[in-house]
Amino acid sequence: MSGFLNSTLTALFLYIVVAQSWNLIGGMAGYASFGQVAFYGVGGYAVALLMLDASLSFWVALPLAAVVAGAYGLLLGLPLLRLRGEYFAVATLVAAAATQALASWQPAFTSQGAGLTITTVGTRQTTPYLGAGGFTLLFAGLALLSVCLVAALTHTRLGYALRVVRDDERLARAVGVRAGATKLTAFALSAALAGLAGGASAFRLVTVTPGQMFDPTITVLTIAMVVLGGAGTVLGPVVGAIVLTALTTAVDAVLPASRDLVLALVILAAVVFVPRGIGRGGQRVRLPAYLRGPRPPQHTTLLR
Amino acid sequence: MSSALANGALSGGLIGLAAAGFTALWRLTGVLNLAQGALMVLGAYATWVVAAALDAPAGLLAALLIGALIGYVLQRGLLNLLLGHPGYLALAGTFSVGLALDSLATLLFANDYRVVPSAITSTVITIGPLHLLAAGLVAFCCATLGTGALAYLLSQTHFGLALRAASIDRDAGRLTGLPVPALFGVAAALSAAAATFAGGLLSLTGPFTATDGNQLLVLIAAAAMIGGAGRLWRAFAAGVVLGGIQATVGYLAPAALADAAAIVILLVALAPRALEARTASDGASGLGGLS
Amino acid sequence: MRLQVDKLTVMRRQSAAVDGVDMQIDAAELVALVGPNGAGKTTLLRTLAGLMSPQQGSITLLGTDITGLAPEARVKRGLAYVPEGRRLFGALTVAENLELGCWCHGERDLGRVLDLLPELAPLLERPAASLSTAEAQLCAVARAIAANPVVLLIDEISLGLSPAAAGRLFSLLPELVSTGVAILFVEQDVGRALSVADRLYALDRGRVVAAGAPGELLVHQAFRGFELGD
Repeated sequence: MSGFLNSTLTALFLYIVVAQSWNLIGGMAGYASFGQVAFYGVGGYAVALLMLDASLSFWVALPLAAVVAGAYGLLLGLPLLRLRGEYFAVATLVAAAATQALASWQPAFTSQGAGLTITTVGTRQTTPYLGAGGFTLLFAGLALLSVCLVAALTHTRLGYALRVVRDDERLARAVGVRAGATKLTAFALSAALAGLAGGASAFRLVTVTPGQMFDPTITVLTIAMVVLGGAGTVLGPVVGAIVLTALTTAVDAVLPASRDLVLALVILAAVVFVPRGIGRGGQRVRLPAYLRGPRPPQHTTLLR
Repeated sequence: MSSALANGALSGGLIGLAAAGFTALWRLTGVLNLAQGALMVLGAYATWVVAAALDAPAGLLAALLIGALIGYVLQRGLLNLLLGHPGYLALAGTFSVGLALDSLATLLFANDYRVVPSAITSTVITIGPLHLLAAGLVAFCCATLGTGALAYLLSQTHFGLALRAASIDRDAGRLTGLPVPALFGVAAALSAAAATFAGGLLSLTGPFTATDGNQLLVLIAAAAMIGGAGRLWRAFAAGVVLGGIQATVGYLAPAALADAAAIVILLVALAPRALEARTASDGASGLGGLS
Repeated sequence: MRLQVDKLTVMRRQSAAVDGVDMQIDAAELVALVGPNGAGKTTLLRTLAGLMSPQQGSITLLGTDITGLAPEARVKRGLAYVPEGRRLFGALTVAENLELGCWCHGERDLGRVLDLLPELAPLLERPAASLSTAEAQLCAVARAIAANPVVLLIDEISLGLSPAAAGRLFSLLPELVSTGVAILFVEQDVGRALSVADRLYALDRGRVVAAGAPGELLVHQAFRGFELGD
């Protein structure tokens, strides 16, 4: 396979993993996390530190990174999942910024701002660098794992409980769903998936810096993919990841300097034109949507 | 150290003004404008460009106008269309607007630190044990006035009354004859102008760069969350407190830890809200009025 | 002709909630809209007010086509609507609610409204959320009158009101009509609608099944299915 194809496929599979990780908490549980990148970063740093300081093999470090990120998700989720709606969104955004701030401050993480470099050559290497083809396979495996996890979850008790929590949390409690534990489990699983993605990326990138591993753009890109494909579905995030990979690849080839600008415009277009996802029809927002739930006051006109 | 605390609190006033605008729009339309930090940076650049050609007050005026224009267009062109859809769409939308503004600024001005040369930038006023930066003091007064003007417009005028009515019930507002889409547009214009004006003041008091937007957003959002939806003066005060704490921690420890400290305070401040959320249902109707 | 509705069709969930309705209302006319639950009365009024958009047909106010206008633009042209559930601004006072009703013409003089509804005067400083159902309905009608409408639409005018409170509202309607306002109101109680209105439209499954003055309608086929009030 050519290098271009490898890097494109790797990006696609990485996007699928992070999109499914957001889908678990944002799409299935209805808790829109704006701090998903925190777990990606924590996973990345876990792999880097475990390989450097504990001299562990990558194949041991990666599952451990998922555990660490999942545990961090539990830690953050305990206070944050008590918040609803925009409070939750902003609290997670701020928590991710705090995580980045802590990573930038901790000298062991940054080595004076230059970042950590995983040893991949020489006698001190713990695992040989996988190479382009190897990483494509690794990410393909992770993507498959994430899709299978979400698909399996939709048919389990946890999946049903999540949907009840998403649609009406008080109703969920009333019918005996343990809403708190359900949300926390989903959040931890979601964090672990993001941690896997971050851990694998760290090894691929070799050098990790806080600015790169905790870039909030990653969070928004993730949300955009899920929105584009259809939140709460199994295949929606995959579709979204394919679309975004195609777009980022094209933009990088043509206008690399204005990548963020173009991405922002794409996300805006996605939000306005396909708010419910491509899979569920490209209904435009401005079409009136009559009678939306029984909660008064009902706003039936959309503002033009 | 007390001077560091005082100067930090003064610059926190700028965060406070932007947070007042942020929380007003949140209360009125239910949208958290995650572009508020990027708007602040935009205001700083607008002031920097115009102040170089004319003078600082003209620069501030330019910041105010460009903020109002962007806010109005943002509301009419994006946020009004997203009312009634899941809240994270509007959040993702405003965040991308912020991202677009950030990357535009980076493309146009590169990542260098900029500072507006001004006569009062380096003047120091000594009051007792405090050594205050004159520019910071003036900017703080302007930010206080700005917050006051915003609070007056929203709570004391007929326009503010119409806006509050529209935020209580959009359909009823339209049936009463209120031009709700335009009213929301003006609300967003005021909110964004608060951010760009605060950014303009920021550029007159110290250096800034195109990538400051996210850090500013975190502080603005934190101040607004601590203050609560629609609590303009509480958000302003929270901004001042956050600024003071950040400067003090930054004086004693590395700057990055200062951000973390501000965030820990936010999480502590959110705890009571977390408990409220368990008993009360969510939604704008449960939030307090404008004050 | 104050308000003219031509072949109006409104779809809701793939079926026509309002199906080819024609309607004319003249100045100073008091017109009732009756029909069983789900007949499309509220959908028709909401469409006239601009909250829903029709798939077909047109709405003409004072000779101008207003079919595509936003609700607030219709209010400015003289079409006011008292919605089901009243939808007062609960956190604001009665006076503020009434002042907002004046928004479209800019004069903030409540004197005219209070002349018509003097019982609101002592309530002016109360939050609208604290009003009783009867007071709230009066306030909602007053808020709509404050806009100086030429056509006033009132949904479920007496729903949830005591007979005395409903009587008060029905005594207000002829007074309003005498000032030249045309009124179209929805009433569940066909007997009362027959006794008050100049004309009636009976709606069933989205279609006008009968229309005319009370005397003509009493013998009409379509009214046999309706429950007459006491």
